[in-house]
Amino acid sequence: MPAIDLNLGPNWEFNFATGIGLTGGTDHLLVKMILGRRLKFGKR
Amino acid sequence: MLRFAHRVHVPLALLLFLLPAAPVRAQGNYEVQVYGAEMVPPARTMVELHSNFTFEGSKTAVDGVRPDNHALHETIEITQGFTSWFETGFYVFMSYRSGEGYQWVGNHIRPRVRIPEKWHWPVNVSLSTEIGYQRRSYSPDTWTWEIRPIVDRQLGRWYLGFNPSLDRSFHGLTVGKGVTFSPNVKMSYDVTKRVTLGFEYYGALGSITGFDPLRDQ
Repeated sequence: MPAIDLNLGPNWEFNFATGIGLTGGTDHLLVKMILGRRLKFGKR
Repeated sequence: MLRFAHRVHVPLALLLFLLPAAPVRAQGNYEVQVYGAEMVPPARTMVELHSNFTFEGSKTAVDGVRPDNHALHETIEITQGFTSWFETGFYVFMSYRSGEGYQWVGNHIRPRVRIPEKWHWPVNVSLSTEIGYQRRSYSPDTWTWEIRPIVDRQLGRWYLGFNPSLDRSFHGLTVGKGVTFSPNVKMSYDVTKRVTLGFEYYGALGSITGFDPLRDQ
């Protein structure tokens, strides 16, 4: 899957990719996105 | 010299980005990710939303699994960092399809450890194990277990990651296959400080005692 990651800051994660299955056992066309956020709860 | 290297590597990264895509079947299209060894720091929580849309998938039920053509798979992943070498992730899998609405698919839990950075190994090494349940109408196997070694390394602007995963079904169609091999690979290049282009490969090769024929992988 060709993929792009964006660095949006230390507390963020962003990944986007497009995949085409090459065999009969896979999906033929899929798009995926991951959006992540780091959180801190309470005081240390 | 650096500028020259950048001139050579950026087109290479673009080439990777434009490569034909590879087989997609990681975690049944709910969690499509090559894991890096980096962990969520202690006392921090990472909340992730994995959104996967299948533009062209199965149009009829296959092995008792609902079709996934035009299905939106949403996974909420919550990972808690406990120490610098131990974290645990929890997954909620959901599926949306026209006429079906949002459906709960299942849950997984994923403890993970890593070799501490202060040991200064030449590569980062981590070990993840994931166990959980998915409804039979959304997965050929309900109770499954995965053990995923993670090896990665940042080399200047280049990143290389490898997850030679082993999977085992405890209930479902592939129980008889025993332990199966699913290698995942990621290679990427930091084109700028904010943009990284790369290529991810997700394979599901079949049983470790004899891989499936290519058409079934």
